[in-house]
Formats: sequence, structure tokens, C-alpha cells
Amino acid sequence: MINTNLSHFDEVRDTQMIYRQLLDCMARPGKINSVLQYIQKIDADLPCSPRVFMMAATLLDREVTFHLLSQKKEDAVRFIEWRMRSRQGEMNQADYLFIDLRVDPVEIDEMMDVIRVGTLQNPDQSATLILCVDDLSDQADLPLALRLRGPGIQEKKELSIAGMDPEWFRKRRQINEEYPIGCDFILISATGKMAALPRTTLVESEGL
Amino acid sequence: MGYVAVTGGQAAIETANSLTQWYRLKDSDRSLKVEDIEHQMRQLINRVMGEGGLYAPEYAAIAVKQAEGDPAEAAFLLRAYRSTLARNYYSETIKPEKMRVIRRISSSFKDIPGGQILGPTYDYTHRLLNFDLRDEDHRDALNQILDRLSIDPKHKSEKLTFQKVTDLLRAQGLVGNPDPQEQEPFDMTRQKLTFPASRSARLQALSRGETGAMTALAYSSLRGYGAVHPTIGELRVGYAEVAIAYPYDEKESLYIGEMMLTEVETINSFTLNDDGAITFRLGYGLVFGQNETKAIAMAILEQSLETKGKSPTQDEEFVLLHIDSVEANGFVSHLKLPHYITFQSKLDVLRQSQKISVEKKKNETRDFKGQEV
Amino acid sequence: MDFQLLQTYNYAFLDEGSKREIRRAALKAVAIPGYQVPFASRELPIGRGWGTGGLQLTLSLIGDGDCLKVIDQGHDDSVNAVSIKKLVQTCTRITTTTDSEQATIIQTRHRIPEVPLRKDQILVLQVPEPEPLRRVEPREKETKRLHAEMDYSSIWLRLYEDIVRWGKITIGPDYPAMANHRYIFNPSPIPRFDLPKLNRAAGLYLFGAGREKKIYAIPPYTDVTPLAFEDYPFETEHFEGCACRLCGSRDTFLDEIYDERTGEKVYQCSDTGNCRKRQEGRHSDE
Repeated sequence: MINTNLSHFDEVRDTQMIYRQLLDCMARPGKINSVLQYIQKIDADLPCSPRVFMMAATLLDREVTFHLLSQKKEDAVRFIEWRMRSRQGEMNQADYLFIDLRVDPVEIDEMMDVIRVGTLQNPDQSATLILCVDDLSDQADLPLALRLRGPGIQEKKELSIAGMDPEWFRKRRQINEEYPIGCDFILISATGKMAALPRTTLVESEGL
Repeated sequence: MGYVAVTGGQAAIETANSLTQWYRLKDSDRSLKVEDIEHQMRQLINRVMGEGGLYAPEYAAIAVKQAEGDPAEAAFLLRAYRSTLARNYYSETIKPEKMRVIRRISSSFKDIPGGQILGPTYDYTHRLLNFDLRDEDHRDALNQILDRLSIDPKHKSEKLTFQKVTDLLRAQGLVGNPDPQEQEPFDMTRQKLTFPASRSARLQALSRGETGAMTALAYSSLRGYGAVHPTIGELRVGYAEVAIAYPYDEKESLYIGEMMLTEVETINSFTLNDDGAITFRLGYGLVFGQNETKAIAMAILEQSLETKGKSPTQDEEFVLLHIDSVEANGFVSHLKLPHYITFQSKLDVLRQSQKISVEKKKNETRDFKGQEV
Repeated sequence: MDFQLLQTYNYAFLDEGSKREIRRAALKAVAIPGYQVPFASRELPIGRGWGTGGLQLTLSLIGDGDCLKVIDQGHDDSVNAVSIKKLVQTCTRITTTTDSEQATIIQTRHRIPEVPLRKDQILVLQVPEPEPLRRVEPREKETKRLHAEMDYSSIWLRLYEDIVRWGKITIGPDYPAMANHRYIFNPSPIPRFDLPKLNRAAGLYLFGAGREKKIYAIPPYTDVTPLAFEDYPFETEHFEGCACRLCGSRDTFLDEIYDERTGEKVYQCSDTGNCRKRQEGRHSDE
């Protein structure tokens, strides 16, 4: 199969550490945690990007489906399917969507209109989006500056993002209006800055 | 501190563990051989594997030895071990109609193609305690049996496979069950059971259920708390082959072994189907090993769940959530854990309520007296 | 046995697929505060109903660098707490403590430690019955619908009937509360004394029900409101005029006990770790 050297990445211990960072992000929306040390253990020339690989290793196995948008998509999908024994599903079926590509607002709308958002009885049967962004900051110094409120946030929280279309947040607001129905966002930069926005987080921004 | 009922922590636990081991061994002069348990306690092994949800006769035997023969405890040991195993493959659909049969009977027909084969069963043995077993010599006993059966153990017998009895009924259009469909079954070990449960979920839950609990519930249905009183179309016991899709070429199969199964198909009272045809409904039971009562109980219960009514066995939550050996045993026995915080909290509520009640009575008396004046 | 556990079994006992499933469910639970996320739930080497939900959460969380505290009834040395702690320790080699301030993860049954949880700490609660509406409706299919429709009239009616009959709400421990103004949840059988600790807390609370196969969460800074009426407000247990006979505390949850010799009723802290620290503090002050 695909020849890869992943001997540095420990799929038991490293995924446990990544999960703890992710759980902390999810419990404290907008808080930026670093997972750079784990990304650095992953070969840069894998068929998928190291951050996608890292998140896939943490979240995927044969019991869930994923959908990936990236460069060299076919190779990357086959690689993840083989490595994680997970299956790629249609966008409207996938449990986890990995967006490792710039998508324009029209595509964002199309995608957000079909993804799983759960039902009132089973709001957990909804998609989680893992969005690759350029950079994250806890001040308002990057192009898309957000103010966050909601569970997990003491009062208000600043989060600003580079490399993410505001359309994501417009559609997110629409979808999450019918709480508990909704979807959850995980944002991650190439340098391993990670933040999460569960469906409960209210996002305000000048641009929205 | 005299008060804390359970303390001394680690030392107490270790002593308790040692004492269990002591009680397991103290009155005998040798340790039970695991292979003896595996091969001579067949019914217990079958039951433990079925309720433990893990087909592993040797491990079941270890569990039985470790649990001093308690089937619930042994099934629990298997389940806990099962939690540590990675699930990498799913088997292909097993075909009980192709099983190597050691026993098959039908109560619906006197003659069935291939004939009734009694095979190994206690059904017609007189339940007289056999005191000869005290001093049984393994080799002598085996030779006597072989003589009686006039079997040459070196001679390999032919593989017996039979068409299913219910296929005969099916061919005549007497059976109303929908045709089998190839679809991914629900897997209750990977998803929480939700209600209404799919048929595959029901069957899986029943197949892992506790034999005694299921027998009791099925019995209640037979006696009148329910509508199911079937005839056994066929009960068969035998070995079925298990294969997985070949990992590098899904079209190919890889044989990984065989397992003993008991399969039961029951014929229930006839119904009017959605398409207007009047036909019988079949009930289905399939369990690990030779465990005939459980397989029949399963067929009764799954059909009972298909009917509507107010009997306990027609309520799927009631049946499916209370037949699991590990869960039922665990929760009933958890009452042995300390509950003094919750008790303190309840005590507080009781005292407050008493206080209110006394106040209220005082007020009532006062009012009454007031009226009198 | 210990050797066998390390050699024959996985790191943190469960296989990676099982841990991942629990982790996925916990993430969803945090995203929907108070909603009971169903999960498959594995059998563990301890009894179902003896803390397998909490233990599965702990095993899915724990790793190098963690320090674990396990309590049962507030007590570190209670045999079930000791047994759970030993199991985790043997299959992970993490460190353990009785000091709640040293711990990164605290697994507990029936109590929340007296010292408030910090941001970097996770409290894992063992849950016997996750469904608050089970008090009024035995069927899961039905309670799921009631939660979906936010139809909580039946439990409110139950509280009202309590007041009519007994003059007060008679729910002792496991007092139902509303999470984030959306879901009524069972806080697990903690005393009412501990319930306010969940409201807008700094730390993360995870709830695991192994037998009932549910995981739910109260994230930090989340509104948790005990169910009550304006004229019949929520009340915690009454310890007026009582003090711990060991540390003298008047503001902690006390166990009511009877002196072996005199038969006299005395009180003692339920949180033994905290009580010991207070006693030591008192001695060093003297």
C-alpha cells in the first residue's frame, strides 16, 4: 500500500493528548490550544495534510464516516480509509467533514445546506466540521474578528481568524438557530493552533 | 474511626481477593483443568459464551473456573475481556441452512425430509442422579459408549446438511414473513439500543440475553400473559462456517473457523398480512452453542414483540432492557455499595417533611378550636 | 494480576476504537449541555452499576501527566473508590492523589469535592440513572420525545404534587436541574448541597452512565438552575448548628454518624481529603 513513515506519531498516546486539547477547546469555545508538537511528528508528504491526518487519527474509525475536501483528494481519501478503516461518505451523510481547501461562498452554502444537523430527538447525530484555516488569534488582529458568548465562556471571548470565509458563520448561524439541532466547528491552523465553536456559541462580528 | 463501614481500602480488597481464592481451592487436593471444564461442562460453556457475547470456548472455561461456576460472573468476565479487543472485521452472513447438523427435530411434522435426528439431548433421559459418575473412569466410559453406539472413532462420518423445514412451508406460500434481505444489521455493541428497535437489534439483544430471564418471560407469554404459543417448525444444532471478506479483495472469502449454534424456527398462529394473504408467521431464535431453551424462548419473545398488547412480553423496552445478565446482575448487586450520602439527603427531606406536618397539624387544631369559640 | 493487566491488556484497558467512541460522544455532550448522548458502552472489569460509565470516561481521558483522584461518598479510601483507582493506575501508570487540588481528573460517586474545581480540572461523575424524567415515565422512547419537545410539564406536576402532599419538594439527592435553559438533567446522586457547584463553574463536569449507556456534560460557565417554584425555592440539606468533629468545619457537607461507645449523634466531613487538609492546616496554625 502507501509507504509512509509515521513511526514518530503514537496513535495511542498522541491521540489521547490531542483529544484532551480538543475537549478543552470544545468546553471553552474560542480558546486556542496548541497541538503543534503532534503535527510535527507527522510526515509532511503524506497524501493528506498533517493536521488532517492528526484529526482523522483522533476522531475516525470504521464506526463513522468522513468527507474530505482537499488537494489530491482521491489519494488522501484512500489513504485515510486505509489507515483509519473509516469510509468516505457523501457530504450529506458524513459524521466528520474535513475542509482543507478554500471554498467559495456558493460552495459553502451548498455544503451547509446538506450536512447532517441532527434531529430534535437526536441532536448528536450531526456533522462536525474540521476547518483548516491560516491562523487563529485571541485578539481582534486577524481579518475575521469574532466576539463569542455562550456556555463555556465566562463573559465574552475574542477570536480572530485568517483564511476563513465569513459565509461559514452566516450559514452556521442559520443552522444553529433551531438549537439543539446544529453543527459543531473545529478550526485548526497549519502551525497547530486549534479552537472549537460548538453549536451553543453565539458569534458576533462586524462583517456578519 | 469506628464509623466508616467500608474502609481500610486497599488492604481490605486484597484480603478479600485472597480469601476468594482460598475458598475456591481449600477443600480440594487438585486444581480443575481448564480443558476439562471446556469439554465436560459444555452446557455451561455454551451459556456463558452466549450471554458473554464472545465465542471462545477456552476463554469461557477459564472464566467459569475463575468464577467458581457462576454463569453470570463468568459471562461478565468474558464481556469485560471483549471490551479490550479491537474490532477489525465483520463476518459474512452465516448460513445456518448449511450447518453441519448434529441434531434437528420438528414438532410440526411427523416426517421431515432427512428425518428427525435426536442427536445429543437430555430430553428423553430419566432425570435420575447417576451415582456411577462418582468413580467414572474416562477411558472405560468412553469405550462403553463407543461399543453401544458401534462407532469407530477413526472413521470420519459424512457431513450432514439438511434443507430447512420452514423452506417447505415457504415454498407453498404458507409463510408470511418478508423475504430475508441483505442489509447491515444493527450492532448493539457499537451503538446504544434505541426504541423502537429494529428487528436486527431485537434479535441481537435476545441472542445475548440471560437464559433464565428469557425463559421466564417466554413462559409468561405461553401461560397467557401474551399471545404467542407456537409450534416448533424446526430446531437444529450444529456447526456453521464463519468467513470474512478477504481484506485485499472483498469478493473473496476467508474461512476463519466454525461455531456451534442452535437455531429455532417456530410457527405461530396465522395472520392476515398487509397484502391480504392469510399465512403463518415464523419466529426465530439463534444462539451460541447448544442452548435449546434459550433459542426457543428467543423465538417466542421476538414474535411476542411483533404483536400489540399490554403483556410485559409485548413491550420491547421491558423485554430488551431487562434480559441482559451483566446489566441486571451489576445493578442489583450495586446496592451493596455505600449509599450514605444519598441516604443523608433523603433523611434531611424526611425530617423537613415531618416538621411541616407537625406544624400543619398544630395549625389545624388551632383553627378548629377557633371555630368552637 | 497487575503484571497481567499491563502485559495482556491495552493502555487504559479499552481498545482504541472504544476510547474513540467515548471521546466522540463526550465532545458532542459538551457541545449540547445536559443532553444525554447515547453511546455503546463497554463492559469493564468492575460491575455494571458500580461506576462503569465514569470509568469509561476516565479511561478515555487519561494519559501521561495526569494525576487521578477517585472518591466514593466523598471518601478516598472507600473500597469501590480504591478499586477503581487501582484499576486505572495499573493499566496506565499515572499518579494518584487524595488531594483534590493536585488532581487533573477526579472521578466521583455521590459527591463533588468541597474545594471548587479549577479550569484545568475535569470532574467525572458516575451516574446510575441519567434520565430525570424516569421519575414520571418509565419508557425511554417517551422520555426522549419529551426532551425533544421540551415538554417538561410532567416533572413540574410531580414537584407540585409533592408540595400539595408533603408541603415541600421531597427529592433528596439527584435533584433535577435545567442546563443552559434547555435540558433538564440528573446531576447524579450528589446531595442538593453540591448542586449549586455546577452553576457557572470554572471546571468541566462529565457524566457517564455505563449501564444506561449515556454520556452528558456541563461545560464551564454554563447556567445550571435547580427546578423549583418561586414560593417553594430550592433548598440544600440542613446542617444548622452542626460542625465536623474532626476539623470543626461548619460549611461543608457532613455525614451524620453515631458514636460507637456512647451512641450519641455526631457529625463528620464527608469530603475526607479536604477534612484532612483542614485538620493539618489547623495543627500548623496552632
